[in-house]
Amino acid sequence: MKIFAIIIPILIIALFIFASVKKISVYETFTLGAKKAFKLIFDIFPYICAILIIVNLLEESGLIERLINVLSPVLSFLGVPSEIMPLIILKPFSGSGSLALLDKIYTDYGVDSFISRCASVVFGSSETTFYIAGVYFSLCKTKKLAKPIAISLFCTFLSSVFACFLCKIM
Amino acid sequence: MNAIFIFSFCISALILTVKDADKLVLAMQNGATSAVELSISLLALYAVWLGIFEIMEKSGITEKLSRFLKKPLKALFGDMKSAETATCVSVTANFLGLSGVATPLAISACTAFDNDKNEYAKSMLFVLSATSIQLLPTSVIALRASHGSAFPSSIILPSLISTLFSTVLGIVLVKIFIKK
Repeated sequence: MKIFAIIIPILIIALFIFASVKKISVYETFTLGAKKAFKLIFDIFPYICAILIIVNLLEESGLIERLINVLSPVLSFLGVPSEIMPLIILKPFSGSGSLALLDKIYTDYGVDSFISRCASVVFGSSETTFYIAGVYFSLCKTKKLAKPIAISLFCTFLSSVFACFLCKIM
Repeated sequence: MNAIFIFSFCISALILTVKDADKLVLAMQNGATSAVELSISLLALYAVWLGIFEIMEKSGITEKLSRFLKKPLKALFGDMKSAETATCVSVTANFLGLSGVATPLAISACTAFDNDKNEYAKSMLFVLSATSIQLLPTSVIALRASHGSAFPSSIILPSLISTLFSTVLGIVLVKIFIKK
């Protein structure tokens, strides 16, 4: 694990040295790039805002909870432990919410239990689909999102089921 | 997106109003507050990584990277035109779990694809990222370690297999359902 952790820092240091050897003004160039962050956030903020408002409304109104209740029988039929179903359904909507849920699962069931391992793999192999859709397509004129979102959700759902199966056999 | 937005807004807003009329505006404000908080941390993340990326670009590393990845990615995306470098770097960054580079570049690649009216490539880039192709689920490993796991990294292999499965499936479905 230590070996993996060291790769990115070394690459960054190597890049800075490489750039200065190539006689690039590293300081000027860095600030030029960092400056672009402002404009980007400025452009995508309205979309982040709209998405997080909707997600908050869906959570507060209890609709996500209802969705969990509806989908649970299907998931348990497919061999997913009932404890991690909320995680599978919440993840596409909310990154921070599902991270808190993962933390709670670790605390409740013990970090090395079967349920926690399933939850880890499910969390690690899924994404906050709606947020990514909103942000990626934010500056596009045509926003035809239905098909790509449906495909992503379907794949994530299947891979979550597959993840639990993998944890059972590995 | 408009339809999804209106649909989920109306239903949840209606339920909230029936439950407790005071709650709706408050819940919307809370959503916006978390957007502000997220944007500030994203600003910091993007400032660091866009700065590093600019150095990569100036020193010619991104060009080398995209020359190297052009061929395999062409099989997925088709002709990428002006979005080529952004797409190559974004996919690589996603794979390494560096969302600070992946997201800004994916946005610019999507915008370039959009100008070419290339719905297919846009969808492919989105699905690749939304099915989470990632070498190391670093945040999960860190959380497991902080909970005192005996083997924090034991989930790497199943995660990799599972995410590979969903990404390959996603690619196939995009190829089937979205016209080039």
